[in-house]
Amino acid sequence: MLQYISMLDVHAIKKDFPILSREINHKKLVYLDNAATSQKPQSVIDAISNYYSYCNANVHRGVHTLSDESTNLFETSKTTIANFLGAKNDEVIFVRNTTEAINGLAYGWGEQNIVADDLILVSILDHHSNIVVWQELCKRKKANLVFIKITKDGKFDFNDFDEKLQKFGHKLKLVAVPHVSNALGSKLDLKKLVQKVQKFTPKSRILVDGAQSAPHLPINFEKMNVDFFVFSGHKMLGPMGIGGLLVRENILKTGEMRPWLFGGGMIAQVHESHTNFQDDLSERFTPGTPDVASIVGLAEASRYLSQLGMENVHKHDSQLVAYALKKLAKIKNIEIVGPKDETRVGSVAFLYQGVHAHDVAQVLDSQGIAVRSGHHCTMPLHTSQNWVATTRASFQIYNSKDDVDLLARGLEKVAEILL
Amino acid sequence: MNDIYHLDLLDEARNPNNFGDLETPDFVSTNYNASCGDVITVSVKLSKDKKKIQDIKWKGQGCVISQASMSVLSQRIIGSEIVKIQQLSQKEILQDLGLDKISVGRIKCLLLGLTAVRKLLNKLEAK
Repeated sequence: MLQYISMLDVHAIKKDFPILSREINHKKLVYLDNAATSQKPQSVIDAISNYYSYCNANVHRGVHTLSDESTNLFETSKTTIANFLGAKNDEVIFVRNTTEAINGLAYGWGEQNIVADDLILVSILDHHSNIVVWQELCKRKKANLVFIKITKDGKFDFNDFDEKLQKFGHKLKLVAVPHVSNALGSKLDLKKLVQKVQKFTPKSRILVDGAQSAPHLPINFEKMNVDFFVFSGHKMLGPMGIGGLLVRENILKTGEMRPWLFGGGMIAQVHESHTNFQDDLSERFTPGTPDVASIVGLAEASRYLSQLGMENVHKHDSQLVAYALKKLAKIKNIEIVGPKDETRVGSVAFLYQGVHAHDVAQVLDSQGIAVRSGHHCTMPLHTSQNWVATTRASFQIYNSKDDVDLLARGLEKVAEILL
Repeated sequence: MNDIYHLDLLDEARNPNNFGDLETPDFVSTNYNASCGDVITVSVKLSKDKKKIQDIKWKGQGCVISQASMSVLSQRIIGSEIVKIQQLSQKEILQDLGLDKISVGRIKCLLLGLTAVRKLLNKLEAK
């Protein structure tokens, strides 16, 4: 317990999040649906509010003072976010969220690099957004989408990956995988994956879905040695409606990836017959007025997390997950799904024997506890494991062991009411 | 909240009416709840004049709300005119379940069965 407190001062952190003082159904809110979206600290809310109250003007367009201030805020925020993720400024393309980032990738990179008979590998752990987008591209291009299986304990199956690399490696163009599974919390051994791809098919590109890793793990895009990394701001204490697509600079410079949205802001010169795009690489991919307030909000979220230290954030999460695994395993009727070791990040999902996940969530809600129930946008995973639906408790920096204890007590109540 | 899971409703879900398959159905329809993976399959036999539901059986997997609501719905529509089924409202299903209201997130659960039946009737009308 002492060691746990030394990681993060959860009591103080909770006070930074106004929503956590709310009562739900006459009980203090215990928010455990962070994998869906995290809550926002007052400093992020203030950053957005201050921007609109005192600094609002369009960026990169005016010579007046407000426009200048807004442009400066935009640029410094971008640098903060890029630094937080270990990327160069030029490698950051702002989009609305992870889903939009993957779609952008399919249009900006996939359309001109995937041809008939090519192969895209995804994992059965992938979120629908990292499946459906590629399914649609494969349909357009007559290419093939193949799924990597999971091991019995819910991890990315490297044996299956090896087999598929051997079998189809020469046709492999893209590996699109989740850094951390949103449904099972399984963390991918990214280093191992990168080594294998570089050894067998060095020309294949790697896309890492970081929606569930960026909120909990230190991220360094440069060191990760992958080509694309996508994330959502709202899952990492930032506002909804802003996220990013990180693209290795070289892929942008060589034109391997092209803009998929066009208009003002991304151009250098427009002629009646043709247009030259911006030299500035990430500007080239950001047509139209950007969501400056949300970018400012996301930069503040990055600062907030940086001050806590992402190593500490990760340790805090590991301790909570380990505690939840231990605590929930003792509850009758509960079967935990996914990894039960230290590789699990961010969440714990389970089946409640004899009770549907929605009913579990409803009973928990009556006690002020918010969890997610359903298939968590991973229908292929649920189908492959014959799970109708699962219940997932997911964590953030403001969750404590007390929250897990309340969850456990709430789950005991499920049996009292429904069994 | 405990009102949602009142004993009659739990009993309805645990011992549902008309659960199973019809041996010689005129129509079969399946409906999925995309947010949770619930599924309900309905098979019906029509009256000779094709204006009424003569018999109905259903089977499915899902939460208490979806199972209980399909159970009460199946009771309600045996012998019912098709026109009346098309006019059924959310409020009437809630009343059948002994509930005043339900949260937005559970409406799909509540209406999973009715949507399956309506799909089937639409198929019929399209013929």
